[in-house]
Amino acid sequence: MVAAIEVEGLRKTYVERRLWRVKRVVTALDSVTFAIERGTMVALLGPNGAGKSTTVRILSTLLLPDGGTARVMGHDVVKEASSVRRVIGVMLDPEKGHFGRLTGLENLVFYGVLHGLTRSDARSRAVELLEQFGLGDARDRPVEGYSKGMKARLAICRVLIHDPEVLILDEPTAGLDPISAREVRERLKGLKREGRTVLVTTHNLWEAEELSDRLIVLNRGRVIAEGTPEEVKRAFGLMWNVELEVSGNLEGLKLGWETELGISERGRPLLKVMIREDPSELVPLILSELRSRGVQVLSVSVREPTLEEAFVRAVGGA
Amino acid sequence: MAVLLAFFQGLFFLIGTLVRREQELFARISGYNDSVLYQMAGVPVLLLSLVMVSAVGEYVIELGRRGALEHIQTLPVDMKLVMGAHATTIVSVSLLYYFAVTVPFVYLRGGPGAVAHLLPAMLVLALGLLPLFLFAALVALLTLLVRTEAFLELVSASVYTFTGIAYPLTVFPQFVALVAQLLPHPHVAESVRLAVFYGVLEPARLVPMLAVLAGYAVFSTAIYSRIERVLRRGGRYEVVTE
Repeated sequence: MVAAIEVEGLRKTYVERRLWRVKRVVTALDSVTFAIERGTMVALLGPNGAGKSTTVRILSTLLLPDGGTARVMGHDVVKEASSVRRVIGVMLDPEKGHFGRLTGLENLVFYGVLHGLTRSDARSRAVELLEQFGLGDARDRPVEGYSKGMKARLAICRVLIHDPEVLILDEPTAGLDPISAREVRERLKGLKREGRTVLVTTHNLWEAEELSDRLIVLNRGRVIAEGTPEEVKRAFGLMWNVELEVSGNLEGLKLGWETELGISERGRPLLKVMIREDPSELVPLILSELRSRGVQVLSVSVREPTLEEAFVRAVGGA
Repeated sequence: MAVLLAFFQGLFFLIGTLVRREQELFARISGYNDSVLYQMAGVPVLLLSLVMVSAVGEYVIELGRRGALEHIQTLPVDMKLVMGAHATTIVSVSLLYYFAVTVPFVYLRGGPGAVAHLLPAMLVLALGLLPLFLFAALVALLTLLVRTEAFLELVSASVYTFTGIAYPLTVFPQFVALVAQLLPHPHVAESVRLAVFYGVLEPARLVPMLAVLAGYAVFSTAIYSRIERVLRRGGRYEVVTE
């Protein structure tokens, strides 16, 4: 399958100057390489300063890289910026980019015309999108009176006005209340179903896991993991937690896995066993090992690792 | 803003008309012989230029602050076209403004015949406003680059002081006069003055103005690409500073 976005060895350094003196040099991207297949939704994850926004801005043709290449639908973002702009829809901040005194409809028509649509085509497409995104009743109201959630939905309408093949969304749910954020997520799932290629950055890890086919995890300007959420968890070497309430003599107990002793909520001894392999195969082994040593197991629970744990472990230890 | 501008322009004309009666006395006091009224006739050019620098600069900064500038940069439309559309609006409104506020004063001073002189003056001004807009657009881009609105104030103050419109260039040291000649303002102001007073499009004045216009067009196009590249390299389309 042909990649919609191809990034190879991308480098970007910001130089902060005071007058002519260099004050600070910050490496935002250090040889970043990844590819995104057509029709997939990919989340770019990473802590603050990881290089997510820089990557998005380079792919949106807003920022020039210092080195490496980035191509969107085969067009180079530096040499063929105009061609790239024709095939992308960019949302950098759900609340920004609107003209507050214009109505929602006027905003969309304005951007549609700038995308090369005729006024009538832009208007009919805008009306269709506003209806589709639940803004039909508010279309003739000035945008400055919209709620954050409405502005976010309008921003999605804006990036869709010219029906782009690739969507680049920088933290589309940032700053939204839970209900608005959920609404936006539902809309994004809809875009995924339409078969568009979507690159989305987010801090929200479960959101990334819920929405995306694949994840690209950045830290300090480098890709530290890439793949499906399961692959990323595995890549981080994450462990399942097997928690066993036990009774009996635990003194000198040594198992072949990483263990930790504690007290359960019911005040009983709690043995935590951390395993990396499939728990359906290992838990029976652990139970029989404990039984053979005279330890009685009262209850067993297996907790699957979350992406957040994986992320914190990887980024925190990086 | 328009009311204030009209007020100040009227004030300049009024002062010019009153002082003209005491021209000899004024010349003795000031030490130079330029007619004050003649000097004042160039003031609308100065005012329009200041408005343009401020309007275009504020427009670009405001777009940046709202995030709209970044969004426009991600669209397949040339920023020069956006600026051109903005120029057309500003130049058209400025011409209408100039005509509306100048007619009464010119009529009072010279009667219907003098009003007829306004037509060539309008033509000259229409041409002259274009390099003034290009100047304002460059100032706006440079303001994005230096990231401080104080730059706009600095340019406005410099334009007011050093372009020989509010005061004759003869009062400045020679090098200041030379620098002023490189700016479009004195040429535009001088052409407008001639057109207002004599109703003629004098080639000796028009040719330098047209040359400046062409020069600014070439210079602006060349420098725009350079500034745009610097802005894209530094990610400076997002305006976050106050």
